[in-house]
Amino acid sequence: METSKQGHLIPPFYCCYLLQSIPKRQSFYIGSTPNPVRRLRQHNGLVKHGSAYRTKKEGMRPWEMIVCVYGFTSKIVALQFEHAWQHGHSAHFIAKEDRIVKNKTGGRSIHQKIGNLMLLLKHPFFNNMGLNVQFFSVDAFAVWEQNKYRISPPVGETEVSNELEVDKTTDSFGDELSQRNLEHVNMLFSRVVRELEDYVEKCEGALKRGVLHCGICASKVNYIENDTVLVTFCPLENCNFFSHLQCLHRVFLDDILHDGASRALIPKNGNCPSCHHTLEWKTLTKIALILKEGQNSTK
Amino acid sequence: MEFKRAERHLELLDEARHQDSAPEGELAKSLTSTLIPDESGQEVFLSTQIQAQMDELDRQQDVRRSLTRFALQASPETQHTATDSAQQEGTKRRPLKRAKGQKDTRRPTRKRTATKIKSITQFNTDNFESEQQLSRAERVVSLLSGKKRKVKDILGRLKRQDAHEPSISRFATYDEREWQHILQLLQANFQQCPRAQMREVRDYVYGSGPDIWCSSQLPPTQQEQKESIDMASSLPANVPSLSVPVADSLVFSLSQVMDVKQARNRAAPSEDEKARSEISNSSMDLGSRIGIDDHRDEGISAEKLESLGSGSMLHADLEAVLDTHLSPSFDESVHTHSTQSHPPSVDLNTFQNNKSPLIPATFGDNLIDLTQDSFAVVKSLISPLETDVQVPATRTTTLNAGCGAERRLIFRNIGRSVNFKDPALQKSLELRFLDSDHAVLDSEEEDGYELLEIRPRPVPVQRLATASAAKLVQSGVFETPPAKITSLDDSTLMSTSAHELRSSLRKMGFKPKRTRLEMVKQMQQLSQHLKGNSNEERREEIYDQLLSTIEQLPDFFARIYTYEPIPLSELVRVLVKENPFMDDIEDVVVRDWAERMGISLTAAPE
Repeated sequence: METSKQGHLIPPFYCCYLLQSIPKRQSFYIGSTPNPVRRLRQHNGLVKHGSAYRTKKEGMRPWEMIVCVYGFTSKIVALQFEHAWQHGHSAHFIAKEDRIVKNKTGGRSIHQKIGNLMLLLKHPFFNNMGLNVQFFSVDAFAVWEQNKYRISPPVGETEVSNELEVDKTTDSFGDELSQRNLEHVNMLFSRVVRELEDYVEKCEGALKRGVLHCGICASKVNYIENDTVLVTFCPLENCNFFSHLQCLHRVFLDDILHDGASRALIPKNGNCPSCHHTLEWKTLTKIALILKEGQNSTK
Repeated sequence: MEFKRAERHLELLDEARHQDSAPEGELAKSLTSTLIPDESGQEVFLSTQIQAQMDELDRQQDVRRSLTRFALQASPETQHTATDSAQQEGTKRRPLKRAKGQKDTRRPTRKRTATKIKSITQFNTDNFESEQQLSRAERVVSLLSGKKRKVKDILGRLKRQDAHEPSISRFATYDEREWQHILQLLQANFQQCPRAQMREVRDYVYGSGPDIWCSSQLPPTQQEQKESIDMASSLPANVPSLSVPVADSLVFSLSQVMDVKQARNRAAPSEDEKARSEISNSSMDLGSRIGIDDHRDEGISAEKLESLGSGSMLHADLEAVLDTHLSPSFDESVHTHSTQSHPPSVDLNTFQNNKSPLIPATFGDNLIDLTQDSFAVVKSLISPLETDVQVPATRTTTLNAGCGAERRLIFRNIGRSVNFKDPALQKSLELRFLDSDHAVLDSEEEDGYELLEIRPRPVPVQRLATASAAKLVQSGVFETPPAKITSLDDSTLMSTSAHELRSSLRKMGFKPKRTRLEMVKQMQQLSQHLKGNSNEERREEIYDQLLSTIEQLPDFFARIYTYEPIPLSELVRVLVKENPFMDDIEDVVVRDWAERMGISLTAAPE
C-alpha cells in the first residue's frame, strides 16, 4: 500500500509569523520557521548565527511576534503561505476581486497584513488544512476582530486565540516587552511539541505490545516485526482505537459522503469509530508518518 | 524777405488743409503742431491717438490669438466666442472663418510634422492649420509621451484596423441594385405579387421618405397606421378574417423575404395561391380553417399568410427561432395562431365555437407598438450583395416587450421529443405545452396535434434577429455573426470562428489546438466526455473525472492523503497516463482543482 516517499514527514511544528518592530510600530516582517523561539531570538540578535538580514536594521530591534499561524503539513506549504502573505497583491490564493492590496507598494498597514491573512485562510487549500492562528498582541487581535475590510469570516474552522496574552495592562517597553513576547512564543511552541510527543509516546508504547488488530479491517499488524504500514491511534488517553491509516481514511470519506457533502480526497476531520471523539486527520497522519519513520529508523 | 516767408507759410497752410481731408500720411505725421494752426493741429493729434489705440488693440488680439493657439487648440465654443468678440470690437483682425478656409486648402504633409521641433510655441504657430486636423487627444498623447513615432504607429494601426472593419461604421439601407435582387427573390417566391405591393413592402420596411435611411428609423406615419386600422375596422365582423385586401396591404419582413431555406421548400405558385384561397374562404369556419393539411408546402404558405394576417414582424422572428431550433422535428408543423393575452380557455372556446371573429383579435394584436419603442438597427443581417455593409433588416423589428402577447403554435406528431429546454430557445421564448384536454383543435385528427403556447421573452430585438440571421447563415448566404458557444453540437461548432473556439476551450479549461479544424475535433471529443451545458458545469465534470482518476490509484492516493507535496508535473503525468483525455486540460485547472482538494503541490521534486 505504501509508496509514500521515504522520509516524508509532517513537521511537528511549522509556522508563519508576523513580527512588529517594538520601537518602530509601523514596521512589520512576515516569515516562516519550524522553531519560532529560535527564529525570534535570531531576529532580535540574541543568537549570533542566523540570517536575519531584513530585521537587523538599526532602530528596528527588538521585534515582537504578534501573530503566529501554525499547523502546516510541510515546509513547502508553509513557504507558499508565507509568500502569499507577503505578496497579497499577486498571490493566486487570493481571488483578484477579493484583493485588498492592489499593488506591490501597498499593504504596509497592520489592517492590510491581517486582512491578507484572513483572505488566505479563506482559501479552500489552507482552510481544509486546519491551521491555527495564535495572537500574542492585544492590538493585533483587536485588528482581527475589527475586520476593517469586511472580509467574510474565513475562519469558521480555524482556531484563533489570544489566550497567551496574559499581561494586557503592563506598560512594559523595549526589552521587557520583547522578553515577555518570547516567553509567550515559547509557551505555544512547547505546548504543541509536548502534545505531539505525548501522543507519539502513547502510540509507540502500544505498538511495542506486538500484534495489534485494525479496528476497521481487523487484520493483524505487527510493528515489532516487518510491518511498515501506516497505522494510527485515537489520541485520547482512555481510547485504545487502532487502525490502518488507509482504513480510517476510507471510513472518514464515507462519513463525508453520508453527510451529504461533496466528494473529497482528504478529510479534514472524522469521528473515532470507537469513542466518537472528533479527530483531526492531519494529526492522525502526522503520527502515522512519525511511527513509520521510527520503525524504519529502528530497522 | 518777410513777404516771402509769409507766402511760404500760407502755402504750407494750404497743403495742410488739403492733407487733412486725405488719409494720414507721413507728411501729416511729420507736421508738428508748431507748424499747423491750433485747430487743425488738435485734429491731427486726436487721429494719431486713435491710431495708437487701434495698434494697441491689434497687438492685444495678436497676443490673444497666439495664446489661443498655444493652448492646444481651443474648444469650438471658445473659438466662436473669440470670433464674436472680435466682430463686436470691429477690429481689422482676420476672421477665423477665413483661416478655416485656408486650412482646407493647405494639406499638412508628413514631412512637415516629422521635422524636429525646437520650440513648441513656434511649432504650434507655424503648424496651426495642420495641427488642427489632429484630434486633441492624439496630440496630447504624442506630446506627453514623448514617443511620437510609437504613438503614430499605434494610431496608424488603429486606423488600418478601422479600415479593415468597415462593417462597424458602415451602415446603409439597400440600394437600388440590392432592391432589384430582393425583388427578384420576391418575384420568384410570390409570383402573383404586383409591383405595387413590392413598393409597399419597401415603403413599409424602410419608410417612404426621400432619405431612406432616416425614414427607416422613424415610426410609420399616423396616416399609414390609420390606413391599416381603417382597413381592419372597415371590414364587417362576419367578413373573412384574412380577406384579400388585408393580405394585400400587409408586407413581409426581410427575415421572411430573405429566408432562402423556406424559399426552397416553399410551394409552387399554384399551391400557394390555393392555400391562400383556402384561408380566405375558410376563415369563417375556424375549425376547418385550422384543419390540417398533410402537405407541408401548403401549411407553410398558410402559416406565412397568417403571419401576414397578424401584421406582425414578430411572427417571422418567432418562426425563425423555432425553425432554427426545431427544424429536425418540424416535418409536420402546420398552423400558427396569434391571440392577444386571452386566457387559454376563452381562446380555445373561440377556436371551437367560431363565435368570435378573428379579425379584432388579430388586429388588436399590438405585438409591435411602433409608436412606443425605439427602433434598433439589426446588425446581423448583411447585405446580400455587399457583404461588408450592414443593413437594417426592417424598421419594425423592435418588440414591445410589455405587450404580453402570446402565440400558440400547433404541432403535429412532434410529440415531446423536441428539446424545448434548449437554453438558446428558452432565452428567446417561453414555451409551454398546453394540457392535452385543451388541445382540442380538429375533430378529425385531434390525437396528432399538440398545442404549444409561446410567449416572447423581453429580450433585445437583436437576439431574435440573430436567430433569423443564423438561419440565413446556415443557408450559406451570409457571414456568420460571432456567437458564444453554448452547445457542443456539430452545426454550432462548424459555424464558429477560431477565436470563439479558442476562447471557449480556454473557458472550459482546455488547451486549444493550433488550427481551427483541430479545435473543432477537440470540441467534438469533449462533447463525448462532457455533458454539461455551461462552462461551469463542464468544469465541474472535469473536476469529478480528475477525482475519480486519483481514487483509482491507491498508491498515489496514499501519498495525497498523507500530505506529501507532489510536483504538479508528476500529478499531470499520472492523470494523463490514466486518462489521455486529461492531456488537453490546462495545468492551471489541475492546480486549482488540486488546491481545492487539499493536495500539496510543489513546483519541482524535493
